Amino acid sequence: MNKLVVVEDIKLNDDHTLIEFKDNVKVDIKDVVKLIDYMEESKDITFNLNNDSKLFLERLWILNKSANLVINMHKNSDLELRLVVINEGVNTINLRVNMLEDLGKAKIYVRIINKNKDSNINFICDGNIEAKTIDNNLLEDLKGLILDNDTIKISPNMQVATNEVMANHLVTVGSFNLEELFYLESKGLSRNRAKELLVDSFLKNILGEHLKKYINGGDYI
Amino acid sequence: MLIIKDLEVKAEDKVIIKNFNLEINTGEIHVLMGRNGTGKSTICKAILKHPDYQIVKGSISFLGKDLKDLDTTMISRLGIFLLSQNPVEVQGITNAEVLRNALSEKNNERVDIFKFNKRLNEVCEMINLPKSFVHRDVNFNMSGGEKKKNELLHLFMLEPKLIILDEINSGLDVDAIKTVGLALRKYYEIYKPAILIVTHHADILEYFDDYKVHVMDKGEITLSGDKSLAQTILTTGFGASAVAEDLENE
Ligand SMILES: Nc1ncnc2c1ncn2[C@@H]1O[C@H](COP(=O)(O)OP(=O)(O)OP(=O)(O)O)[C@@H](O)[C@H]1O
Ligand SMILES: [Mg+2]
Repeated sequence: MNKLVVVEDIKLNDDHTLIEFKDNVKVDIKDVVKLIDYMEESKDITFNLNNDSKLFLERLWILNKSANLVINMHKNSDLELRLVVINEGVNTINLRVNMLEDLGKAKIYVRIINKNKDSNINFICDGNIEAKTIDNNLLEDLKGLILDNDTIKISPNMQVATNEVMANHLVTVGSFNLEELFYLESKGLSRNRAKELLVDSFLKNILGEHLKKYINGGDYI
Repeated sequence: MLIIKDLEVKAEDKVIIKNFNLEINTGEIHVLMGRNGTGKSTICKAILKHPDYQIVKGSISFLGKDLKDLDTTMISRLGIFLLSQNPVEVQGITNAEVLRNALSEKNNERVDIFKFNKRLNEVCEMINLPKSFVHRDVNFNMSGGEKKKNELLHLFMLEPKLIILDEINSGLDVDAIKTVGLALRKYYEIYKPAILIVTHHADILEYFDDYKVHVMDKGEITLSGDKSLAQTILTTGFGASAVAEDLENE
């Protein structure tokens, strides 16, 4: 994970980490690629992971309309997706991971909140593992935090046409943990500050340093 | 300082505490004992208004203020500190973050980071906790004993007036009990707080010269006495007759 490959159709920033995608773009991954991306618009993107390639995609996604993210994985390819979604409005994200050949490895981490209580998001995560493939490995860790009676729906669908696969998913959608809130308040923190810190930790949990700095739990409480 | 009168506490519509009366004055140490499941932890958490528990009768006041209209945050800021039997783990929030926020909100001013760090280091040294714990997530991935020490770090930083220790000694090794006992004793000597100790063992009591003892059964205090009562219970158990006999012989 130290070689960064510049891919066509992606604009790199000066530090070669933050990138800008065009809409409806197809990105061909041929080597080891690490993309760290802050996206304020919703765009449809398809990644093609060629044989023996690796994509690490970390994205803070300020979602303002529905979008599709498709990842096609070929032989011995490797995906690590870390997605923090802050949704505004009524939107759907359709994430589709197609494991088309053998020996693919995909780890998908998603954290979702709504920006306000009128927002509503439906996150559909389709894992599709082709028939006759062997030794694919798919892990999904998908969590939504409800801040204020807003709606978050996460639907993990796995279509597995083979037995030769390891597939795991962990999905939770819920409000603040009352034990954690009580604990923080019992130390003298106000309810608001306690919630701010909890939102912060929920979102930052799956992000690296580059994107963490864009998150301030206080903006959503 | 703390006055609990005729308290009745429910959880999920079940009465857990009833007819509970207790008064603790500044500088006094009170020990609460009783069988598993008699409601010791419940009373500790109810004082701070844990959301699982509803106070359906009676009253609690602290420093002359009725706690009825105060929330957990305000009760904490009045100076009550609970060291829980099972400290909560909060992943993603560090000790330093909690304490800095707690102090700055309480005092309504920015924390002087230089003094804050200095104090954190002093406390870590005193309770024999590695300084790296300051930047660890609250109780997350810590051993049972480490969690208790970690909570002590919070206690010493927040400087409460009433300390509630719910089985602080469970999980601590012999050396840790000594370190913790000496640190608490030192805090007691400097700040003269009131302390409520829930315990099943004598070890932590050895660090305090004098204390009152209360025995709880089925949500009520059924017996109160001086420090000799703790000794009696620890040798003869909670059997009501055994305790009563002993008292008669005195
Ligand atoms: N949130 C809750 N909801 C329902 N019942 C509860 C709740 N909390 C405690 N209880 C019940 O209330 C009783 C008292 O529990 P508590 O934890 O206060 O006991 P304890 O005296 O601290 O016991 P131990 O010595 O084992 O720590 C128990 O029967 C317990 O099952
Ligand atoms: Mg208990």
